[in-house]
Amino acid sequence: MTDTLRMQTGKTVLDVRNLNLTFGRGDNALHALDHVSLSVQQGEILSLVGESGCGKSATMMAILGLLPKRAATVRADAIRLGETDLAGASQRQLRRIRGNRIGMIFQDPMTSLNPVHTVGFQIGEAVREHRGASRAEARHQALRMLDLVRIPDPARRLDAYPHELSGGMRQRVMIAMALVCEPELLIADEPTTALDVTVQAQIMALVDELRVEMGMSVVLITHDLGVVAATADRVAVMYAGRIVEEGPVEQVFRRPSHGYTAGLMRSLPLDGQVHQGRLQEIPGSVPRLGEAAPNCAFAPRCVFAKPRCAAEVPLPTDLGGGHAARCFEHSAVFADLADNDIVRAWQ
Amino acid sequence: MMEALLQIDGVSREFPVGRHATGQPRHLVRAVDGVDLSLAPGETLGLVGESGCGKSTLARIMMALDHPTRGAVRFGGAPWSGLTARELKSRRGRIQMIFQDPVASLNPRMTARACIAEPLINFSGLNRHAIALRVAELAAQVGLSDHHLDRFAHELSGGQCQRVGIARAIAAEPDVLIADEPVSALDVSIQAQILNLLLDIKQRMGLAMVFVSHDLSVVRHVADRTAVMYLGRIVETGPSEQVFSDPQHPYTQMLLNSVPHPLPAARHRKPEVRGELPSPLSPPSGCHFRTRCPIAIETCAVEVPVCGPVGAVHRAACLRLGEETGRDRLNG
Ligand SMILES: Nc1ncnc2c1ncn2[C@@H]1O[C@H](COP(=O)(O)OP(=O)(O)O)[C@@H](O)[C@H]1O
Ligand SMILES: Nc1ncnc2c1ncn2[C@@H]1O[C@H](COP(=O)(O)OP(=O)(O)O)[C@@H](O)[C@H]1O
Ligand code: SF4
Ligand SMILES: [Mg+2]
Ligand SMILES: [Mg+2]
Repeated sequence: MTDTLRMQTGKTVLDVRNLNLTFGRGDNALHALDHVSLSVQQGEILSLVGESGCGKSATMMAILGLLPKRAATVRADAIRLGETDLAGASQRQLRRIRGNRIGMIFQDPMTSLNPVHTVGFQIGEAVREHRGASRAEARHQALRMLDLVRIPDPARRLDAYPHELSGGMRQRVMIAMALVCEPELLIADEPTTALDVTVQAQIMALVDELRVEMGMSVVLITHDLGVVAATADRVAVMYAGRIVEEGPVEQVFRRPSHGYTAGLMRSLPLDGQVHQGRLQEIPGSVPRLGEAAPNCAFAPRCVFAKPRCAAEVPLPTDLGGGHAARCFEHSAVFADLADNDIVRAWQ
Repeated sequence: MMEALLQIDGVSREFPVGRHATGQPRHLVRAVDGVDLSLAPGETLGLVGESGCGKSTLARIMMALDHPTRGAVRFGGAPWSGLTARELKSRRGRIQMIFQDPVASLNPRMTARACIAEPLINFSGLNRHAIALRVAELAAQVGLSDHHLDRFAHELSGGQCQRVGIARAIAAEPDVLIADEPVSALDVSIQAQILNLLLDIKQRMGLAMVFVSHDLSVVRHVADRTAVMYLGRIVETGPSEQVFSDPQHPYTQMLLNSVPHPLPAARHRKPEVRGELPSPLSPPSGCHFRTRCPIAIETCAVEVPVCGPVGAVHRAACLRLGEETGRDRLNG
């Protein structure tokens, strides 16, 4: 079981209950997140998967308190990091938590790295700020981190500028910056989307090793089911601002129970597919942001949809073992996917 | 083998980078390095490799949007170079391209209808009425309805823009379609729609296609033959089935091994990926891949491997091809 770490401690590191987010106000308000609930246990990698615009980054920005107060309204029953209430925290308290108890890495390392400072300085910055470390101590920590993220010849790289490094090395530097204060939680927002597969494989292997070495928890945002399968313990599938399916990775792949999850799994060109044969497409297009859907937002594109799907919001159905899906037709979905190559491989 | 529609012989393309005070280029990047390739009528050739390996440069050379600094490109039996403007224009109509960024590749000030009509005005010699009919027909072929046709690129989704791009490309009934990362910028749920459309069009029109992508599963699915590039060179070519199920070059093996499939075998797997891509400004001597290759020997630093035969139609550029290297190549 990959759930071992979690079962050993069972400590909840991040707990988000019914997070709602709207951009703008009144008639122009756009509902971006609807009743998003997530929890991450110690040592666990939770993957948040969904296509662009579904609200993955917004979820993390809301948790971190990084959304502009004027533009965004965040409401939640709870956002807790361990014992700390993030929903009620002041900006000052949040600043002490970000980069300290929560590390963050983003898709494009170039926009998050400062071009005029050396990587050593930038990695050390967090320990100076959060731990009051001296310059020498910060430099020492930066060196240790470069070594930890397996950058060859770390002493020399300490004085390099971001543009002197390759994309893969910059992403390693970002990881070093995120982890220098030994956070409880790492939030990685599409950390490998801009990278080539070989570099992605190296970076994901590194994140996986470090979470074991440091006993940290990870929220991994991706749009790639392959990355989920390779790295995550649990997965939350997001569609149009809602978590539509959630559970241990093995169970979700073994028993996909939402029309969208099923649609994604069926559309992938896998090796078993007839060469140049028709792929099973998901019809229609990704919905634009608007009001919170009064039904299953996927219904217009779903081959399993029944009249009820277009009329009511499906609530999460408990499928056992920590697996739940917001789908009225979850049994039909699963029955239909029983002979899917991916599903069969997981059984 | 059928006569090649597009034939590329020993093609290299060097770009000057940086300038000395004297105006001389500081360095030369060899983006494409001695490439031989051919495309038969009706065939789909996949071109894979990591970013910067020269795929787009090669695609642009095939389109005569760029010219090789060495070697020759022949299209329909005649060289691309040395054509009169008029010959070039008529030839251009027979080879068309679709691009990665579907929104940016369309003129923002033109409606979808005007975008699709443009190549017809340029290449077809049809009158206005006939063009209008043909645009409607093309739109139907690519799955656009009439109300989409009066919209501008920014009013359409990425998938819809890519449909416009495809309609535009096939408008003049080309023999060859060059698709440079046609689905990479699209949402996962939209990719299958566009891939189906491309497969469908290819079959219906019998056109040949060069399909450039960094997504190996997609290339495996659509391409009859696949060429793998590394730092400007082709390191392996062959029928897709053989290249993907029995890769012969250590780089192809490393690349395929890095792809996370949504299968249980991928779980917490640590693919063997060594080192980093060297700078294209100073690629390693001999075999470009030797600095990352698990089976490199001393000669690899000296000799440039030629892309030699593995089977009847499968080729790879590795000095240790066919040797017993103690590595399970199949498992690559
Ligand atoms: N500041 C903002 N104002 C208005 N809409 C926003 C803002 N930030 C994000 N959005 C919208 O919220 C939705 C979710 O965005 P995001 O979380 O970035 O998606 P993802 O990360 O899943 O691709 C998108 O439709 C996006 O356009
Ligand atoms: N116009 C140009 N000037 C200078 N260098 C270029 C130019 N176009 C491409 N290159 C370089 O050539 C190499 C190959 O680029 P490209 O063909 O775009 O690769 P790919 O499409 O495989 O990502 C890269 O190193 C790139 O930086
Ligand atoms: S030629 Fe040498 S370095 Fe290149 S792939 Fe073959 S064994 Fe490896
Ligand atoms: Mg995002
Ligand atoms: Mg390219």
